[in-house]
Amino acid sequence: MDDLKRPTLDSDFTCDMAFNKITKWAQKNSLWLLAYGTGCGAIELSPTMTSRYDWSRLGIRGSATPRQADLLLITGYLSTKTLKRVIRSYEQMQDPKYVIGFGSCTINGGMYYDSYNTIKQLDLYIPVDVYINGCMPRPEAVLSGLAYLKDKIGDKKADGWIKYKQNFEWYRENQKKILKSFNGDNMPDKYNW
Amino acid sequence: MGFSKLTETKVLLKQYFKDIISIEEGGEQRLIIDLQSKDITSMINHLKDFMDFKHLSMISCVDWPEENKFEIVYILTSYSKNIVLMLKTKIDRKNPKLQSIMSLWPQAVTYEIELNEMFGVFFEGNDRMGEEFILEDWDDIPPMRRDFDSLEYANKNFKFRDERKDKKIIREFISEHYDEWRKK
Amino acid sequence: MSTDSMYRLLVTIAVILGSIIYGFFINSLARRITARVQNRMGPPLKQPFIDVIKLYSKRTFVTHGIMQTLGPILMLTGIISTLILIPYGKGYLTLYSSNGDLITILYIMTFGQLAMALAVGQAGNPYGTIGVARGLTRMFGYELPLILALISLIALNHSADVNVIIANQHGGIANWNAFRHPFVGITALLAMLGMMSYQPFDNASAPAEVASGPITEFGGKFMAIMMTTNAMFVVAKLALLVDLFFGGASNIFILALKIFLLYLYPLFVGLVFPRFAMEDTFLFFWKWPTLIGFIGLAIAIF
Ligand code: SF4
Repeated sequence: MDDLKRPTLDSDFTCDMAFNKITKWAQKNSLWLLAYGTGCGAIELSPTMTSRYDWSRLGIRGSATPRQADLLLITGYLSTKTLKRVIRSYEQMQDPKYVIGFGSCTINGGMYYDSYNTIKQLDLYIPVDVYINGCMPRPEAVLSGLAYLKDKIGDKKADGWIKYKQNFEWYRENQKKILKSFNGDNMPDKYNW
Repeated sequence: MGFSKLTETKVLLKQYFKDIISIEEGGEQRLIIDLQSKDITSMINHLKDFMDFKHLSMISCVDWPEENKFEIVYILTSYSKNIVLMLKTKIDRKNPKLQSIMSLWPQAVTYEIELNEMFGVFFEGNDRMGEEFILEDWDDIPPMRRDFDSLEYANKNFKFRDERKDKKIIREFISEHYDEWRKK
Repeated sequence: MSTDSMYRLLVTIAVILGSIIYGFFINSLARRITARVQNRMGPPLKQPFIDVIKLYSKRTFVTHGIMQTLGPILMLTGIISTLILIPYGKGYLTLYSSNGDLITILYIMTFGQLAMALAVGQAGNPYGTIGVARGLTRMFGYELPLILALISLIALNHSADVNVIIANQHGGIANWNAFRHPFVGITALLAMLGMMSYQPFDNASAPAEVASGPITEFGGKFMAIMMTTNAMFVVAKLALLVDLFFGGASNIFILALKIFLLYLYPLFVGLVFPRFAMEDTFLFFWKWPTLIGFIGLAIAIF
């Protein structure tokens, strides 16, 4: 992890100085997340979006396709089969994009630490901006994680997507270690389906 | 009242199939039947066509490395008799082969390809045998076999996060401070 | 350029910009109302504006071909042409409506949707194709009653000019076409449910059923253009209906109010009824609205 290049922020952020403030404000207050539940954690999203906690107050909304989404929520354990789809969805999303790892399973394997089929550390394969701890996190924790992400976007610290681009080879190597079929020739060169 | 439906089924089955290994009651409305593997298809056929066991609940497998056997378990249900049947048969672990029952229940295909993937049991006559089901790009022995060490595999293939630099045990830390934080 | 046409141009630009803002505004009000009905807080009123700015500030630009890039822009063109052919009041606010009549408007209105269909075809997403097929089927459904209603109007007024139709409704609510010719009004209002693509008839975009329908493959800036277009389209459609059936408006504020009140009607219908299946949608439109429309037409002609 430590040998990763830190993104050089300014080169990527300052090209539109004049609109910088407005776009940051907009990106921060409008997060569309990809409705893609991977593990058991997805069950906590229903109370978070319905009337009791209602995340639309914060400008958060589900979107059905990765092309329109800004935020990928990995809700829990990821089996290697799902990881393939997640990487693909992540590649299809349009920059700037953010990832939230949700639950202990994404952090260190959680209760599936000895499973042959779930990955243990999410940030080896895709860059994670915010982790929400807990098994499973309650809606309050989810909301606080989302609020933290919003602050991070405002402070220009949510730079996972730049990191992914700059360290693409490293991520790709990690992915290939698990997903053997990614070694084949029929993969697009820089992915990006 | 003559015989209950359960006893009736038991007696009938014993009559038809002479070389049943054992047949016993496994609780209320439940029969456990041990069979030889060559009989299993004809038995299921008979049960479905003549004795009204129309519902295939599941197919499962148990690994017995000590005896060098796999035990395949079929669970059938009859709604008219209200009986759940458990058919068990043991097959060789070295060369696990069995006749597919996909012609009787199309949904059996899914169970069979899953067993093929998880245990390596081969079902003859299933045309989707060998298809990738849950495990994509798998290159070890089938993972549900008992001689497969899951933890070892996980340690070999996945990287765990390093422990905290300050060596703090976070659970204790939280429980120490819990009351403090709650008051805030 | 004479000062007169100069002013007209300026007013037109103002109306186009205003319709974007007003479209977003009623959209966010609708989201608020929906949220209150579901016992939620709902997003803040500025949410659609934030969404659009965010979408315009997206960095990646994925396109599958020239038609996909052109599609949303052609759609925008179609909507702007529709917009400037509809009168929004008196004087300069009639914009260019004297240049085209009802038939032109109807024709141009579908232009955007057809451009969209082509763009989706190139994007090559199966969900998009399903969405377009559904959308066009629904259009096929509601256009029959709609056109019946409009033909009745034309027959009644002996003119297809929207300005003439507005002038004929002068003098009180009782003179509005919706009340003076109730059969025609009811037909148009029922057809409008399909036109607004709200809940019972939202089977084209059908969230979570076919991903998000035609717009599945369009993200970022395309999506932003489409949201803008939709906002304008809603205003255009509602303004046309207000002009035709609810007496037009003498100034822009009354028009805005009427548009909003009319907008509430499909919204509340949508909150009560769940989504129809495709064949039910089609059946619905070709059954009662069409029947009532024929009655209205018969009364209008004889
Ligand atoms: S962290 Fe807990 S709740 Fe979340 S996916 Fe893992 S086991 Fe399930």
